[in-house]
Amino acid sequence: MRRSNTVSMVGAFLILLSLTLAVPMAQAAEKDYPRKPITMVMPFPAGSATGISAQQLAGIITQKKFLPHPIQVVFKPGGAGSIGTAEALQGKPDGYTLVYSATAPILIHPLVKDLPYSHRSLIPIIQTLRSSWILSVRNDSPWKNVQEFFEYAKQHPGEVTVGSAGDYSWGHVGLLQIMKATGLKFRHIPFEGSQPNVTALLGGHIRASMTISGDVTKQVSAGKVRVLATVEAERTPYYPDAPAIRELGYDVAGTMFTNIVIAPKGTPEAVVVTLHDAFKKALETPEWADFIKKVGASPGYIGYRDLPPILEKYVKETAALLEAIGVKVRKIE
Amino acid sequence: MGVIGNLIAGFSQALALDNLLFALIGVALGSLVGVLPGIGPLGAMSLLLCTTFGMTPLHALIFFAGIYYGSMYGGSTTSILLNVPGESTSVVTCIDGYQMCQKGRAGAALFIAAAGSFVAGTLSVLGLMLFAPLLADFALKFGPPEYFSLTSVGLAVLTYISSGSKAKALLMVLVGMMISMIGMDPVTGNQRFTLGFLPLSQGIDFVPVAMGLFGISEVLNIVTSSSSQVRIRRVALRELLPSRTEISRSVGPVVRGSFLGFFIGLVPGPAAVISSFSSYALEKRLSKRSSEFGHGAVEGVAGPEAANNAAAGSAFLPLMALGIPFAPPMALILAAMIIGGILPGPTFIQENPDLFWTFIASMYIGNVMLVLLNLPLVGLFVSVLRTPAQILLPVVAILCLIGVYAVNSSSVDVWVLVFSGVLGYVLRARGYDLAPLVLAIVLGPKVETYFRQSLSISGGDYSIFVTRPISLTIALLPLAIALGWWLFHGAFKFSRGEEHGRET
Repeated sequence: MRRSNTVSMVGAFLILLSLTLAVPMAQAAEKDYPRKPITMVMPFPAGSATGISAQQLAGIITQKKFLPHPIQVVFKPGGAGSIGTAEALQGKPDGYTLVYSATAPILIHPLVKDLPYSHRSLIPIIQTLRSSWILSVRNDSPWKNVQEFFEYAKQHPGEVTVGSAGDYSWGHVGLLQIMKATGLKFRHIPFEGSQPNVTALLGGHIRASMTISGDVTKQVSAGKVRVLATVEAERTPYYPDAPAIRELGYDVAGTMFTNIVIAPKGTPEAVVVTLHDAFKKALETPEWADFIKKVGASPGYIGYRDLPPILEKYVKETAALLEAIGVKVRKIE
Repeated sequence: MGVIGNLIAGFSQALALDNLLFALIGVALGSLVGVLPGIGPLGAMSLLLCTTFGMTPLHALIFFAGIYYGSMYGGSTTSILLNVPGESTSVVTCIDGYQMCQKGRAGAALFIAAAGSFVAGTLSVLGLMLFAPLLADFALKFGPPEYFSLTSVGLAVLTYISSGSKAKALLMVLVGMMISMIGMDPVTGNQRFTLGFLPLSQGIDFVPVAMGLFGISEVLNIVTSSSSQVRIRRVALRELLPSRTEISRSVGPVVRGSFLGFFIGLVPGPAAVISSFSSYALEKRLSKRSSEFGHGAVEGVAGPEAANNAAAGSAFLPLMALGIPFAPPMALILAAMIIGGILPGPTFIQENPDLFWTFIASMYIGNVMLVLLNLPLVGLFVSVLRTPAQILLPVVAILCLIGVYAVNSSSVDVWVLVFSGVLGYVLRARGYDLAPLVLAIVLGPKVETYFRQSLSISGGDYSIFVTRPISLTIALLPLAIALGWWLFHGAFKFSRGEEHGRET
C-alpha cells in the first residue's frame, strides 16, 4: 500500500513536472524554429516536373538563407505520389517534415484509394505554382481547331483516344470534366506518367493528349504538336491562340494543376507562418520567375489561410464527377 | 560545316580544363556507384541534383552523363567478384562472370568487361552522333503494343538463357511476375497482394531481391558448404590479363553486343536490361561452345557488358533528338539541364549545336578516361579475393544491407533482402536458376502496363498485337530464328548422319 502510494506520488510529480516543462519547451521550440535542416519529401520521381520545381525552390531558400537551416529534398516516389505523401504525413507535426505535393495525391487519390490521409488531415502551407492544362494533337492530324475535333468525336463516340498521365491523374479528371460538359465520349488511355503520354502522342499511338502546358512547350515550338484548347476558365499566356473550352459555351469548371507544400496536421501555427513566409520570399525572387517561365507554368501563390476552402471545393467537384462515371467514391472525414 | 568540322569544334571545347574536370568527376563518381551494389546512377544523380545549381547547362550535362555511362562500367565488378549484381543490367554478367572468377579468371573477366564497355561505349557515341535525328523518328514508331511484344519476347528469351531445366526456368519467370504484381495496380491504383500493409503498396523493388538472391544466398552457400575452409588464393599478375584465346573469343560478342545494345537502347523502359540478356542469349546460340555457358564462358561476360554500355549511349538519343527522356536516368539529366537553364526539345541540336557537339566530344573523352581509370583498378579489385572468407563474407553481407537501405531508406527492403537471401539459398540447392526470377521482377510490371495500355487503345481488340507490323515482327522474330535454326541444324545433322551411314 505504502509502496503504491509512493509510486503514484512520484508519478503525479513527474506528470506535473512534465506539464510545467512541456508548455514553455513547446513554445521555445516554435520560437527558434528551425533549429536543424528541414526535410521536404518529394513523392514523385526525381526528374519529374514537380520534382524539379521542389528542388529549385529548396535551392533558392537554402542559397539565399531565407531560413537559418537548409531544406533537403528527399525522394520517395511510388503509387503516383500517394506513398511518399502518406508516409510523410504520418510523421511528427514539428515542421521538420514537409511534403511538396501536386493535385492528384492530396485531392483525388483519397477519393478512390484506401489511404491514411485526406485533404482534411493535412495543413496546406503555400501553393507555389499553377499550370494550365491543355488538350493537344499532333500537328499533322486533320483537326485544325477544337470545334472540328469535337465534331469528329461526336460522329465517332468512344473511338477517339485521349492520353493522360494515369488513371485518376488530374488530366484524367480534366477529361471527365470535358466529357461531362460536352456530352462527348472519348476513350481514355492512362500512361505511367506525363512523359510516356507525350511520347505516345508524338508517335501517333493516341489521337490527343491531356497535358500541362510545360509538357509540350518544345514540341509545339518545333511544329510537332498543336494545342487545341485550354481546359481552364481563361486562355493561357503560353498559347494565346488556343481558346478556353468555356469560350465555346461549355461549362468546364476550370480546375487546377498545382504544386502545394503541405505539413502533417497538428503542426504549430507559428511554424506554418515561418515556413510560409520563407517560401513566399523564394516565390518573389527573379530566379523563380525565370524558372516557371522556362517550364511553362504560371505564378500561383496562395497562402495558408486561403487554401483550405479552395481544396475543399475541388474535392467536392471531383467526387461528383467520379460518381457520375460510376466510380465508387470514398467518404472523407 | 559537316560532322568532322562540328566534331573538331566540339573537341576543342570539350578539352577545355573545366569541361575535362567535370567529365572526370562524373565518370569517377559513376564508376564508384556502379561498383557499389545497391546505390545506382539514379540514386547518385538524385542526390547530386542540388549540386548542379549555378552550373552551366554544359557542365551539368557532361557531369551527369559521365555518372550514367560511368556506372555501366563498374556494374559488372561485384557481379564477377562476389556474385552480387551492382545494377539490374549486370544480373546476366553474374552467370558466367562469377564462374570465371571461381576458376581463377576474375582478372580476365574484369579486363574483358572494361575493354568491351569501352568499345561499345565509343561505337554507341558514334551512332548517336551520326544518326540522332534519323533514329528518333524510328524510336517513336514504337507504341505500347510494340513495347509489349518486346518485353514479352524478352521474358521468353529469359527461359532460354537459363542453364538448367527449362520447366524450372519458366516457373521462376512466373514467380518473378507474381512478385512483381505486389503493390499498387499501375492503372487503377488498387492494392494487390499487400495484405493491408502500406509499405508493400510501392511494390517489391528488384534491388533487394537481386542482392538477396545472389549475394546473401552466396554467403549462406559458402558458410554452409562442407569445404568451408575457403582457401586464400594468390593471384599472379599473369592471371589479371586475359589470354589470347579469351581476347579472340570476345571480339565477336563485343561487336554484336554493341549493335544489339544500341538499337534496343532506343526503346523506352528497361532497354539496357533487355539488351544485356538478349546479347547473352544471342551469344549462347551462336557459340560453338554453348555447353560452356553457365560455367565461365568469356562470351557471356563480353557480350552483355558491351550491350548495356551501348544501350546507355543510345538512351541519350531520344533526349537529344526529341527532348523526351525514355529512361529514369535520362529524366534526371533532363532535370539537370532545365535547372541549368535549357529545355531540350526536337530542335535542341539545331538551336544548340555547340552544346551538342561538345557533349558528344566529351563522351568520347569520358570513355577513354573510364578505360584508363578501370583497367589499373582490375588488380586492386581482384585482390579483394585474397581477403580471408571469415572477413570477406560478413563484409559482403553488411555491404548488401547498407546498399539496400541506401536506395529507398526503407526497412521493408532490408527484410526483402534477408528473405530473398534464404529463398535464393534454398532455390539454388534445388537447381533453380535465379536470373529469370530477378529479371521477371524488372520486366513483369512493364509487360502488364503495356498490355493494358494496348488494349485500352484498341478498345479491347486483341488483334492490335499482330496487325501492327513492328509488333508482329518482334513477336515472330524468335519463332523465325528458332525455326530457321531447327531447319538448318536438322538438315545438317541429317546429311552428317547420311555420311556416317555411308562410312559404316
